Amino acid sequence: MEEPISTEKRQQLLINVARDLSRTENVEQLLDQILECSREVMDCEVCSILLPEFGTGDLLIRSTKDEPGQEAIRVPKGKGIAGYVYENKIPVNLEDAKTDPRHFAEVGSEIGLITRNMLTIPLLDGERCLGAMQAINSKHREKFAEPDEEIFETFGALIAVTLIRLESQQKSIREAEVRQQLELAHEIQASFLPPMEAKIGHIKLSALYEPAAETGGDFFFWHELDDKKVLLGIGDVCGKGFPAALDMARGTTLIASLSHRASRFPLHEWVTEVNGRLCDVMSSGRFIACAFLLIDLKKRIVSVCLCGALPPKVLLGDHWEDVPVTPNPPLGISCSFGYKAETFSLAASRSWMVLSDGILETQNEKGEYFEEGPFDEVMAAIAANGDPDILGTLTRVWKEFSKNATYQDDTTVLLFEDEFPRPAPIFDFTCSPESIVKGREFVEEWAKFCGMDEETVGMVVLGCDELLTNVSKHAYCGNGPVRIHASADLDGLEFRIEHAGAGIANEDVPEVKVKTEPTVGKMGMGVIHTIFDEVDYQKGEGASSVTVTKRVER
Amino acid sequence: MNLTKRQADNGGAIIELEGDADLAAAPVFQEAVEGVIADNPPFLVIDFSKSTFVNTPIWAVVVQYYQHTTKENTGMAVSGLQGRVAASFGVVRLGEFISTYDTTDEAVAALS
Repeated sequence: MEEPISTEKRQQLLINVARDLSRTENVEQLLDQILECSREVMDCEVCSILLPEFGTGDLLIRSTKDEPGQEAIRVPKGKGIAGYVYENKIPVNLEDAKTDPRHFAEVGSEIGLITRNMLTIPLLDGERCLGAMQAINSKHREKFAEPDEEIFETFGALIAVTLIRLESQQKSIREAEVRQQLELAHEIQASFLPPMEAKIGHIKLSALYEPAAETGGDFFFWHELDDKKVLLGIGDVCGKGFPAALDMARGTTLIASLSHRASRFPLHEWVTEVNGRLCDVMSSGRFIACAFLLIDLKKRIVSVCLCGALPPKVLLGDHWEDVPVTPNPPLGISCSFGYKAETFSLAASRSWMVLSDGILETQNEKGEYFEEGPFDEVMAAIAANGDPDILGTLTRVWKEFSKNATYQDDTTVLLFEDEFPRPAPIFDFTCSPESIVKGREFVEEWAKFCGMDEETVGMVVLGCDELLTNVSKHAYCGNGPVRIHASADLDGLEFRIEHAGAGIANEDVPEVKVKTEPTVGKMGMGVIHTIFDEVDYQKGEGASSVTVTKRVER
Repeated sequence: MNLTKRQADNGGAIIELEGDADLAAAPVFQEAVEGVIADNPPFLVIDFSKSTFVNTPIWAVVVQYYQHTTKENTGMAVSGLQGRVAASFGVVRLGEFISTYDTTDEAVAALS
């Protein structure tokens, strides 16, 4: 018969086990090592380790009696002596385990073991129980003694530490894998977006794009098209996470693949086609809010189609205004919906901004919203100061506002700036029959800046010439100072001609009648009212004016 | 603006306007047309083929001659309207009263 294992040998075994356990990184290998060592240390027939199964709470047994590849035997949650030890976190030392009412006999019969004495200890990490260990059938005693209990608990503490180390390692590996996948997803998603800055003709584009997580549902796009047109905009897919990221990829890809057609059709027709295609492929209940802008650099007009998105903002002089566009529903909701778009003069402003609702809905650490004050304040300051770095300033203020916020939505802002040289807004000259040609040149420069076609330019020049002719001929009866103010807004072009001569008021203007025979007088008045959409005469003491407006065709 | 006045083979008059025909040019044109009225030829052709701009002070002189032709039962036409000049002629609606031709030769042939 084998000699009982000495205390010195047990201590030496424990030191060896501690060293080996600290080196092991493979769980399977570790369990086998634990079991082999524990059987030797405990000088018993069988040792087993019972670890809880995630989800069920059942204890899965790994023992020295396992055959290679054998499926783990299961002790239902709370059953058996091991279940008791696991739940109560106290050791149980039994001389005759099979007579104990807590004994779960199925395990013994399953592995062909007749259990006599049994020592079961919890594997503790402070208050948390990681599992249980059992030493079964001491080889040289009727019952495990107190020193056996002490050494088994010491051994169990070593094992608990090792299990925690492995658990932590595995968690780190899993987190690293998830992080790597998210980074990859972020990179893939970024590949669907254009660069953050670009220049197309006289149009300078820049974007602020901050997804709330590694992947987002927001996107932006710009495409240079034939015939000196540029299609740009932003999108905001409903929902979050990977479904939103997939729909973002779907949206950007579809827009890119159909973009070439945007130069051939009116914007509203093109958007209707995009919507039809999206409805075919998007899941029910999913949709994309989009703002589309089609810039025609030749005509210098911009068409806007809003699909559930915020209206673009345009910098008009010293303030920002929302571009007045009729809203349409988001894309992907109704296949048959006929979208509407509206057209504005590009000359109205140098700076246009399109944004998703994320930036406005950003909350700071106090729960205040960016749109409730700070957004309007920074935009007003940008406008008032003529800040040349619009997006940089907005980004800086927004980041400062949201720096300690726990949550924010995806944020996308797209700025485009028209760098086409703007003509001087005022022209002063002494108006005379010989100098009116200079006034015509000033007016022509503005009409061309507003992208009017050759015929319309000619008409606007003729109309203003008629006004200046009247000033010279009737207001001054010769020469006198004239100032022409020119300005473009979203609707078109306006000229205000100021003079110090004898002015007229609107009520002084004769009614223009259809003539059966041509007459010499008042022909110029008829021309002015035919050419311009609005004419307003203001008569004052030594300072009179006439303001004319030519609207852009929508 | 440059103004050229000449006589057609069959006794008609031709006035050719070159450059911007505006308020500054109107007195010169007016004087030329009044000279034609005084001569009272069988017809007058006003050639705008080299004109770059025409406004209502010039059209007013054209109307003045048109009124003379209806009174004296003589002929008149304008020729060479193009671009902004044609648009200007269109906006004053003189095409409803005065005959237009692409070239002066066509106008002279039609009025002879």
